Formats: sequence, structure tokens, C-alpha cells
Amino acid sequence: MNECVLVVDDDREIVKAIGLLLEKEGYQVLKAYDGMEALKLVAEHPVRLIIMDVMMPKLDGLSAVMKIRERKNLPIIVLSAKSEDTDKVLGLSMGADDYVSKPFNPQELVARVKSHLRRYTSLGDIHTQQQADVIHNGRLCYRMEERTLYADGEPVKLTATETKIVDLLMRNRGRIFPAEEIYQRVWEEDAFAPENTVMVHIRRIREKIELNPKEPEYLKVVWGIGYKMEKIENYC
Amino acid sequence: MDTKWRKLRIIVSFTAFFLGMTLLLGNFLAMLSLIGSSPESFKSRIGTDYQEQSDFRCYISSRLEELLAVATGGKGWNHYGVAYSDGLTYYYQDYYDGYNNGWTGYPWSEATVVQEAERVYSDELSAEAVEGEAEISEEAWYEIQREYGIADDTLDAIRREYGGTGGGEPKSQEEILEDYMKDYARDKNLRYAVIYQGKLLYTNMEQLEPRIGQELKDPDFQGYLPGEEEYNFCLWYNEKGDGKVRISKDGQELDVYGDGVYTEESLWYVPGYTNFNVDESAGDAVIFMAAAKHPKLYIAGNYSEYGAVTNWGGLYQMQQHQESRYERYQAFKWKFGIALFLLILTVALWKDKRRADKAIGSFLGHIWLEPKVLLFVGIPLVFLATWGRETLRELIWIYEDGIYMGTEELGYYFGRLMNNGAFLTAAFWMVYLGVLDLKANKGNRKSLLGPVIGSLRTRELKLPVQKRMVERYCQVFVPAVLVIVFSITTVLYYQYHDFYWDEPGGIVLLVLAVLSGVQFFGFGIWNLCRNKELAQDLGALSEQIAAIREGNLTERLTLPEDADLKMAAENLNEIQQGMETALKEQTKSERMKVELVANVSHDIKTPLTSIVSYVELLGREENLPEHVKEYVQILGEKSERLKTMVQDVFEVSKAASNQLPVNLERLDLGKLLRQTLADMNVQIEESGLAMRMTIPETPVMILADGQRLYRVFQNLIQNALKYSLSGSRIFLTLTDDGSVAVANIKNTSGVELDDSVDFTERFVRGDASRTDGGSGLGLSIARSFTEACGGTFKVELNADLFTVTVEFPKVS
Repeated sequence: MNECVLVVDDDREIVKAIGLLLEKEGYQVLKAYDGMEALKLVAEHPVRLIIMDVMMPKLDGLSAVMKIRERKNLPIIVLSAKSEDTDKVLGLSMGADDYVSKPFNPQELVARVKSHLRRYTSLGDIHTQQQADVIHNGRLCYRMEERTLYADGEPVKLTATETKIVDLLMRNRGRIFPAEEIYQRVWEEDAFAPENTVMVHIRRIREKIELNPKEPEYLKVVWGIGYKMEKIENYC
Repeated sequence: MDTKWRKLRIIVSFTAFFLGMTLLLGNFLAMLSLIGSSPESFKSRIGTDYQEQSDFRCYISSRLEELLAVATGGKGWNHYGVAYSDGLTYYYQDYYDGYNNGWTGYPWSEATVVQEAERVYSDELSAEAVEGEAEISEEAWYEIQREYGIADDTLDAIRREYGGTGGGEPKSQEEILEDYMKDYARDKNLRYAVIYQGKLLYTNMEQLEPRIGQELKDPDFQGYLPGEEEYNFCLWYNEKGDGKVRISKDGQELDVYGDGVYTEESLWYVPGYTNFNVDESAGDAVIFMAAAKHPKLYIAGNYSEYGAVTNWGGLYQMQQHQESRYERYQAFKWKFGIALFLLILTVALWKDKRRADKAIGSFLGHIWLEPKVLLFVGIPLVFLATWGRETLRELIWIYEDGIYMGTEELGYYFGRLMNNGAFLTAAFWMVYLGVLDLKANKGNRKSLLGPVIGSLRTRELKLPVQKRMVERYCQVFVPAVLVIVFSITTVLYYQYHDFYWDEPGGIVLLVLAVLSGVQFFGFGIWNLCRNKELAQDLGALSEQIAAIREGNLTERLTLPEDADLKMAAENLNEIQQGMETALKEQTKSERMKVELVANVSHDIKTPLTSIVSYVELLGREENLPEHVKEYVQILGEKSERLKTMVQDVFEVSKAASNQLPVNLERLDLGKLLRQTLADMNVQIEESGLAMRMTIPETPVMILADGQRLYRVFQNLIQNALKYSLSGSRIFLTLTDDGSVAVANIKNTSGVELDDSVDFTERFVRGDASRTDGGSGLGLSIARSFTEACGGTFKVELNADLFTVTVEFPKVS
């Protein structure tokens, strides 16, 4: 392994903490404390992934991301204390692959790093593997023949019911299913108070596929209407 | 030098204009009366020969008519349709009546002259004087003498005779006729001879007089005239027995009949036209008349016991008038010439004249308005009072007969009406000055009453508006009283003085009554305007109040400085201003608060990241003693709480200042509640509390932001789970009353709560000691989010029963 990750933040303690966390996972960590330094390190070392804070002296995170994006095609995770939706949209549209707002859960961050690196290195280009019976959705990949769900290229272990739910939702990404409908189509009988039953399974699936099950990105509740699999554009 | 010259030019220009206009206007109407009805008459009237006038021709034809009547002793040729019943002519009937009644015993043709004298000197020639008892004053006689050009000795003779007594027995008609003809004969300016059936009846030619009553065949009348040169006008009637008239003037024969048909345009009103015949008896008469070229004054006295009247001769008067007219015409020519010259001069100096106008206008501006108005109204009023009666009569004449009058007559009457142009001139200058004044002093009036009215207004403005209005209505009585007083006075005047309506005093009263009526109306209209303004201001004020109520705080109401509601409007404006400022400050402080919270939460987040990360690292350390592991776990929990709290504070402050973005969509509130409960199922089970739900199966659709509303119910349920008495039940009900969806969460509080506390305030907790670990933001967030989505949020505490009600309007 020993993949090289660059951590950039003007708060040295945070850089150090992230560095420790990543080193424990076996990554080689490069540290920078402002945007300029980061650009230099990226040019000098074979960096595979960057964790970049937004607000930094000399050159701010977003500008640095833009500069790096001009030459390199590597995953960048942006860290910021700003948690507004507009801030996230801005960060992602500037070229970041992921946005994590402070204060973050260290395990989640590590999970995200792993996820990105796996897809970047192990899976390679998504388009070469394009198959008719495969549904790609962000980190997720569902092979309909095998009835198997892959997250970051790794198969996810699902029970029969869970697989049925995933099958239904993955085939109809973006569509909202009321709990009754899910219940009817998965259990194939009329529903009586299905919310609890469906919710239990949804929660379990989330724990298996989401990086942070408390703030799901894929399997979402649409409050007052139903549940859906978020349709996420594939990363390039 | 230059300015001096300029000043001079200005003065000259205006003086020229003034004199020119005055001359022109002062003589214009008199000139009009001189012009007459046609160019021919104008020519004859300004000539020196009195015999060219229509008056002269009238005189001659009347004389002829009269002499013919006297000669035939019977009917004339029908004058005004009056036939003679008793053989006497219509003409000396007057003479006869007057003589016998001792009243006006004048021969009619001279009556005008005497009447004129009487009219002018009515004071002197009182009724007593006519009756011969009182003397006429010296001055009066001199006036008469000067007026009519009577020589001194003649006057003496008249005075002698006038003072004497006449009289005698009443005379028969024949005797009166004789007297009349005797009087008639004394005027030597008109010589005549009347032959009837070959006999000479009457004549006043000395050479023929001895032959009165004798036969006279084909006489050469002209030969009998005392001096042929003197009498240049001769008329023969029926000379050749053909009933026709022959006229010669200065030895020249005149064409009397023209084409032989009498029309209104014919010059001579005499028999002999094909359509103008007289009866047969006239055919027996032959009449000769001769008029003097230069008539002299002859005075014929006619005296009786009852009165004495003199006859000064018509032709003499005619000639005198002609001369005076001629002189006047010459004078007019000069006057108009001068006027024209002056006006041309004015035009040449037009610029200077306009400067003069401006100077006069600005000078007039310094005069108070009231004297000007008084003059403007007063001068015509004085005129009316002085000449009003005649003026009115003449106006009536003009009104009634004006369309039948020629320009001559109209000019005469207008001339009199305008008092020979004086009034016209005065009127012109009044109007001219008035216009100058108006032009130069627009809206800049100097007025005596102005400061008075101003101070009254200031005093009025000090009163409160309701008193002001009452006072204003009371003011209406003042002009009303004036109207009543003047009207009653006028009515009483006419009632008790029994005067004709055109008496000067009466006219003045009438005018005053009318003026008071006018000012009453004027006051009424003025008051109406003021009240209209007040009403409009009132409308504007209430609209402004409505606008403020609607939330428009920027537009101010501006009323005029002297408006009745000025104070009210200003007060309202100040209230508005205060509200605006307060609102601005509130908005500003809200925004600053949100900024502050955002900054603070951001600044907390960064160190929090380190704490969370290092706690995580610490947790991964192996070989930690058990108790240290426990510490690390507590640290982890608390830092997690801190993280949530920071986010909550940020959101609640945003929601409180209406800066929370919401994404409203149609959703089923029942389903949302079920989902929320399913989501929190684990927590509910762990709490050991029982959940009792009553949610209808049918969808309850509302418009809200699902994510936010989930937070609301999540908070509410968490709140209930946290603070309920252990082992108690939480009741969640959703009811739908058709238009409103009402969600209700009831739980029994574990501790005793103070019901005076508003639990939805930020950082308020049931337990004031803050030891339970809550942030105090749960209910506050729930309320803020509910309200941001358009719902209502209510908390009720009944003993230990804690009830939260969330209401949303239903959508179809």
C-alpha cells in the first residue's frame, strides 16, 4: 500500500491528528500548512489523495484545488468549518471530489479516504467496465445478474430482504417509494404499519454502504413521502 | 447722461400713450354721434350749410304740411293718422289746449328749445316761474343767454316781458289760430305766403301783408322778398295747379321727386309723388316758402295770465347747431390728428413704453389691494349713483329700440351714456392699470387685510382642529347677516319711500344688496374650498395610516404649511419615522447577531475538530487502564454534544431572524410522523417509555419543508423521551379537521415545571439548574422551524401534562 496522502491545514494539531489517523491505517502522509506549500509538495511527490482545508493563509484551499486540478486528476477531499449547503456546492463545483465539514468524525474521514483511494487506484476508469447489467451510482455498483452490491469495488454482504430492497431502489434510482410500496413489493403482502419494518432494514443497509450512516448520502428518507436511492453522478 | 435720456424717453412714451388714448377715447363716441347713418348724412352734417340737413328738410315739409292745413281749413294729408274733427289742425290744437289750460302753450316746433332750457335749469325755472309769479335768477338768465347766444338787449326785452302779466279771457279756436299765425309770422327766417282759392290768406312778407284777403294771381313771390340774396331757398307748392312742389336753392332748381315714386329714401316728404296725393281742397292752395341763408334770432313772446313763453325760431337753432357741429368736427380733426401722432410716437417708442408699463405695474404693487378694489368698484358705483337713473333709462331705450336706431342715434345715446366719453376713458384706464397691476404683481399682493387674515389664520391654527372647524362654520353667519341687512334695508327703502326703482339712492342700496349677495356666495365658495382641502387632507391622512398599517414606512405624508391637519400629519410622520428607525435597528441587530453566531460557531468548530480527532486517537490507544477508557468515552460523548449544540445555535439564530432557507413541498404529515417514529424506534425502545400514536390512515397533506419538519418532531419526541416521568406514556395524535392538520404530543413531565416559563425561548429549560445535559434549544428550534414552514407552534402546561401542538393549514 503505502499510498501517499497530502494533508493541508493551517491548524497544525489537526494536520497532526489526521496524519496519525491515516498512518495508523498504513498511509504515507505528507503535511502542508498553506496552499503554496501544498502546490509545491504536489509537484514534488507522487501524491495520491489530498485532504485540504478551505481557509488558509497565502493561498486558500479552493484556489489551491483549482490550481492542482489544472494538472492532476487525483481525489481531493475539502475540509471546512462552513457547513451550509451553498458552501458545499461551491467547494464541489471548484473541483473537489468530496466535502467534509468540521468538526468531522475521524472514522468517517478515514472511511472516505479509503473509499476514494480504492476507486482511484483499484477500480480505475469506470467507463472501461461499462456493462449492460451493471448499475453504477457514485461509490456504489450493482450487478443485476449476480444481485450483488459493490461499494468502492468491494462486495457488500446483504441479507435476502436487504438485497430485494437494494434491487428495487437501485433499479429505480431517484424515484421515491412510499413504505407501503416497498413493503408490498419486497414482502409481497399487504402492509400494516410498514414504516418501522422498512426503516429497520433501511438502517441496516445504510450501516453497510454509507460512510456515515447518521448522515446518509445514498439511501435517503424523503420526509412525509417515502424512501429513495439518491441518484449520484459518477465521478470521473 | 444715458440713463437720463432713457428715463426721458420712458416718460415721453407713456405720456404720449396716455394723452393719445385719452384724446381718442374721450372724443370717439361724440365723433360717432356726428357721423350719422350714412356717408351722405355725414357730409351734410359736417358742412357749413344747414339747409343740407335732413332736419331742415323735415322742418320745411312740416311747415308746408301745416300751412296747407291752415289754408284749407280742413284735413291735412294725414299726419300720424290723426284726422281733424273740428276743422282745426292737429298742430295748433296743442297750442290751443296749452293756452286755455295755462300749461304749455308753446308752438310745438319751438317747444324743444324751451324744454331743453327748462330741463337744464329746472331748479331756477320752477313751476312758480312758469306761472309767472316768481323771478328767474340772474345767473339762470345769463346761462340761457350764453347757451343760446341771445343779445343783451333782447334778453332785457325778454325779462321785461317775462316779468309782466299777460292774460285775458279764454279765446275761441279761431282767435287762437290767429294768435298762432301771428307768432308764426314773427320768425322772419322763414318767409311764406299762402293763397287759397286765389285769395292771399297768410304771409309774413312785408310787401304782401297789405294785400291779405285780396285776390292774387300768379305772383312773383321772390320779388316780394325783402332781400333776394338773404333768402336763398325757395319753395313753391301748386304753382302751376299740378299739386307739385318746386324748390330752388341759390338760383338752382332742385330735383325734388327723382323717379316720381316716394320711398323712405326720398329726400323730400311733400305731395306730388305718384304715390303721394292730397285731397282736392289742397289743389286750390298755392304756397310759397323761403328760408334765410343766415338765419337770425327772432324771439316771439307769448304771454298770458298763466304764462309767458318765447319762441326763438327753429331755423336759427338749426344753423347754430350746424355751426357748432362744424366747429366740433374741425376740433375732432385736430384732436384725432394729435391722438394719431401721439399713438404713432408711442409705437415708435414701444420698448420704452413697455418699461413704463412695468414701472407703473410695480408701483401699483406697492399700493394696498383694498383701496384699489375699492376704487375699481367705487368709481362705477359713484357713476351709477350720479347718472344711474338716466343711464338706466338710456340703457332701456337702447335695449328696447336699439335695433331700430341708426348709428347716429345710438352714438348719441351711447355718448350720453358714457357722459361724453369721460366714463369710457376712465373705464379704459382703470382696466389698463388693472391689467398692468395683475401682470406685474402676480401672486405678490400687498394687502391691508392680508396681515390681518394672516394673524387670524395663525390664531386659528393654534386652536385644535375640531374647534377650528366649528369656528369656520360659525363664520358663515357674518356674510349671511350682511345679506339679510342689505336686502331688508333695500326692500324697506322701496316700500316706504315709494320711489321709482331707478332712484340714485335706491340704486346704491340695490347694488350694495347685490354685492353683499355676491360676497356671501364668494365666502361660501371659499369656505367650500377650505373644507374640500380639509376633506382631501383627511383622506390623505387616513390613507397614510392605512399605508403604515400595511408596512410602508418610507413614504412620508406632506401637507401644505397651513393645512388644518398639518400637526396630525407631522405627528404621524414622526411615529412613522420612529417605527422605521426601530425596525431598521432591529433588522440590523438581528443580522449582526446572526453574523456573530456564525463567526462564533465557526471559531468553535475548528478547535472542536482537534478535540474530536484527538479523543478518537486517544480511544485507539491500547493498554489504557479501564478508568481512563471511561474518561475518553465521556470526552467523546461530550464533544459530540458540543458539536450538535454549535450547529443548533447557528440554525436557531438564523431561523429567529428569518434567514433560514426552506424548501416547501407537498407532503403527508401522517407519513412524516410515522417515518420519524420509525427512525427513532431504537431510542424509544431504549427509553422504556410507551408511545401511543393516533394517526389517520388517510394522507394529511400539508405544505412544508420535510427535512425541517423532521427536525421539529425529532426534537419534540426527544424532548418527551428525555423529560417524561419514567414508565409514563407519550401520546402522539394527528387530527385533521378539514382545513387544519393538528399534531399533538403530550407527555407527563418527570419534574414539576413552572408554568410561567416560555419553554420555546432559547436556552430555557424546565430545570433551571442545567444539569440534565440538554442545550435548551430543542423547543426553540422546533418552534422556529415550524414557523419558518408556515405553521403554528404552541406549548401548554397543565399541571404535569406537557402538551405541544403543531398546526399546519391543509392543502388539497
